[in-house]
Amino acid sequence: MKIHIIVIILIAIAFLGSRWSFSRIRLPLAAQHLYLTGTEFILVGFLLGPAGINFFNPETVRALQPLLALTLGWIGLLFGLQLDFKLLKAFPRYYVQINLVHSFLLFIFTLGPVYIMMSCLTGAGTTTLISVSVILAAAGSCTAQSSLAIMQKQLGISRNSLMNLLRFISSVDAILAIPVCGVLSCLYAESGIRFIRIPPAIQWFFLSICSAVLLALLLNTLLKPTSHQSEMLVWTVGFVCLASGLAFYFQLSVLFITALMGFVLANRHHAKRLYASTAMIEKPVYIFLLILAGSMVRSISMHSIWLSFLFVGIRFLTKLAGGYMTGKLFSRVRSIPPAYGLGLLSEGGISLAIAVSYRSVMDGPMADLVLIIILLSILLNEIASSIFTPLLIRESEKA
Amino acid sequence: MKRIIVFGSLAVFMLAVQYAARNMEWVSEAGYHTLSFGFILLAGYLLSDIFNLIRLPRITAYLLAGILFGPFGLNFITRDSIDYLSFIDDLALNFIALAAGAELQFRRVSKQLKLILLLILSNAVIVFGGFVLFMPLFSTRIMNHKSTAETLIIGALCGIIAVARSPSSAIAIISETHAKGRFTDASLCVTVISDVIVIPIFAMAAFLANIALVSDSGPGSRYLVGIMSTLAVSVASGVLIGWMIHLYFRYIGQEKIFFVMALVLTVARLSQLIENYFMAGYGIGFSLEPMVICMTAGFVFRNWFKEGGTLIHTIERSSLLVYVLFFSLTGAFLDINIVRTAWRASLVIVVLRFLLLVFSSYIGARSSREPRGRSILYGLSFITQAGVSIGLAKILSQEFPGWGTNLANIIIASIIINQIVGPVLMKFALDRAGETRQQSSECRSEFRDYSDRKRR
Repeated sequence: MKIHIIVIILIAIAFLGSRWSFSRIRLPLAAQHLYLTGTEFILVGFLLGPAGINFFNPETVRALQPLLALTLGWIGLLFGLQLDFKLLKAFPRYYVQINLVHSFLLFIFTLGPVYIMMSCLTGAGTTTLISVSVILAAAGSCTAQSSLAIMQKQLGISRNSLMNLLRFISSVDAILAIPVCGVLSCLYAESGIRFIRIPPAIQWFFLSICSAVLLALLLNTLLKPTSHQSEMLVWTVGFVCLASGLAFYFQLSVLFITALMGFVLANRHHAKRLYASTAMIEKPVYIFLLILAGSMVRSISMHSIWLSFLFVGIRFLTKLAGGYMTGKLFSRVRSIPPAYGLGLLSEGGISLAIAVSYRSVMDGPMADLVLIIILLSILLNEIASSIFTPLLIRESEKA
Repeated sequence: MKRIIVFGSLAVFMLAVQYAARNMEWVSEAGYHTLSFGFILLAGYLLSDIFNLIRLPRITAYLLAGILFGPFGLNFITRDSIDYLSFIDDLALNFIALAAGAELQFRRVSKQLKLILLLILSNAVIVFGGFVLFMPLFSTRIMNHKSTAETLIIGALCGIIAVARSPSSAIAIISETHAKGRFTDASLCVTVISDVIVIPIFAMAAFLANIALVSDSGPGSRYLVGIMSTLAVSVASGVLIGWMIHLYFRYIGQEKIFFVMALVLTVARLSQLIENYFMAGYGIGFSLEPMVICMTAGFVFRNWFKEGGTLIHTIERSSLLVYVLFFSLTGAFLDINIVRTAWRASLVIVVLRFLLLVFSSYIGARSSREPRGRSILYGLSFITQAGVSIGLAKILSQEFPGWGTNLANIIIASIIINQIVGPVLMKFALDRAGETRQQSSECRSEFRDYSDRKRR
């Protein structure tokens, strides 16, 4: 009974929030930035959760898992649908190259320090440490798209090559993080299918790819140019549920399977219409995820706060270092400001989805810690990006 | 062909998932709920597309998909998943009730009030009377050693259940076929009103039957008063909810579909909370009937306020998703084993009810001077049976353990058959009445051809 009332409240906040948030009101710059990116919903979730008034207790959050799976699947599909080769070709080729190098460097640079930080300050076992570090590094390497879009509006910039590059990177820089999560989930699979004598990890990775491609092709078969919107909704919801349910059922990565599905669909005939109908409820879905993520936090200790600050520090430095190195590597093609990584500080949807996905599969104190670190990191990075990104853009305008 | 291939591929996919899960030490239950939700949605809609090609109603396909893949079929949709997804049931049922209420336009209905009243009256008298007279034929099988008077009372209870219809199925078929016109209005109106009035009448009959058959352990007059107060308060609450919808549509007017969904789910949950509160706090069996509330709200909003017409458009935008899920899950919920065990007796009841409904509707429609061809069609549109009838059959089983349980099983089996056959017959009736979009466009093109030929 309670779960249904909670669903009503959650959907109400998500839909009404999507109407009222993301629009300008008079607030100090950093606070306005937090409000515009919808970050305040993390706090709403936190207040409703066990650490707040306990309206969403761990049991109700667990009961909401099917909805969570659908939400994560939707976010994954939306990301995958952006990877349209035709669309990517419209951008200069070095955009794609910079993005790939930048994502790779950032992931590698973050992984080492985060592993050391976690091993020194948490005392977890090696297996857990590896998974936690990979998840944090993957989440840390992603950038929020909405934040930069909002900033572009706020700064009143219409044409700026650096801003264009930053927005491009922010929209597709999860291209490495999501497959990494997919591989990680397969590595932790305990058993495989009985009659196949291949290591379980390879089996599950292969099955993840096959399922995603199969489901995408089946969905593509059903879509017609004349499909009514309500019919598109039935197909999309059905296939996203199927893909994310499958991932959740076998503890695979929801984001990986649905993003791969989206990628296949993005390069077929009905990508535009599908993207349009999927993106229609993007904001409510995102708010729903923010609230759920906030409500998953059981308690916040000083220890986790310090770790979060450390993580934000590491991420800040690796963004700078990664940006600097990428800039050096591509200096012949294009002059990129050495500190352009400061424009990619903002952290959002995909990072949060990675952390929530991990927390919902790996229930335990370390998974809780990962979620808290990412949540606090999102809050801190939104504030930091509202300070550093305008500085960077103004500098580039002057140059 | 594409649809059939995808349908088959999805079934194989589910089989593969189930096979792979056998070897796993731990799988997520929540994951399976999501998986089954997606599967039933797709399977139901795909099958309905295939059915649509052969001009069968979509809701029959949704029901069959549910039966085929539900816990009594291939068990792709497990009992746990159905329990988890039960909120869809509440949401959809009340959503459809709201739609049914909103479809009833007083201005249109009042023009054929005589026909509607005559249909209701003839249905009630003839179907009820028919069952009272024919039930003694079953007495040896169901009611061993019962006196004639007792058999007649039991026949009366069955007769009342036989009068109940399924407004949800009717509204789904009307929405699917985009049917509009006199015949559609009258059919829907009779279906809705019959389903509502049958509840207090059954309560009254059950009360009398209890006095006559098990006098010492009956529910007493409080039961009857409870039912009457439930209906009265539900109607009053429906008026209030209708007014609330008006306020929202008029002054806010955004995310209407979300508002409607949240409202109907809230009504369902609040009704349950109120029932629990009265039972736990005061020991009173007072409850609210969410379907009656929503139906009244839809009717009030449609007929009392200027914005009434927008409700139908709002509902239609998301009705497809709701119908697929609701009827597929209903199908999954139907215990097909009951039909297997009681099919002979239930078939007799189905045939008897069919004949009585067609005959009584013919008499009612002819008395209202409806054309002969159309009069015969009314009965075909009244065959569907679902929620209320199943609920009443279950009450029968609870109130009269023993023979009541046997009878309830036979009635439920007949309801399952009616629920599958009914939509096909209703679609046929609407088509023949020339009020479905497909049919009327065919009629129009035939008329165009005819007038072209004449002009030449």
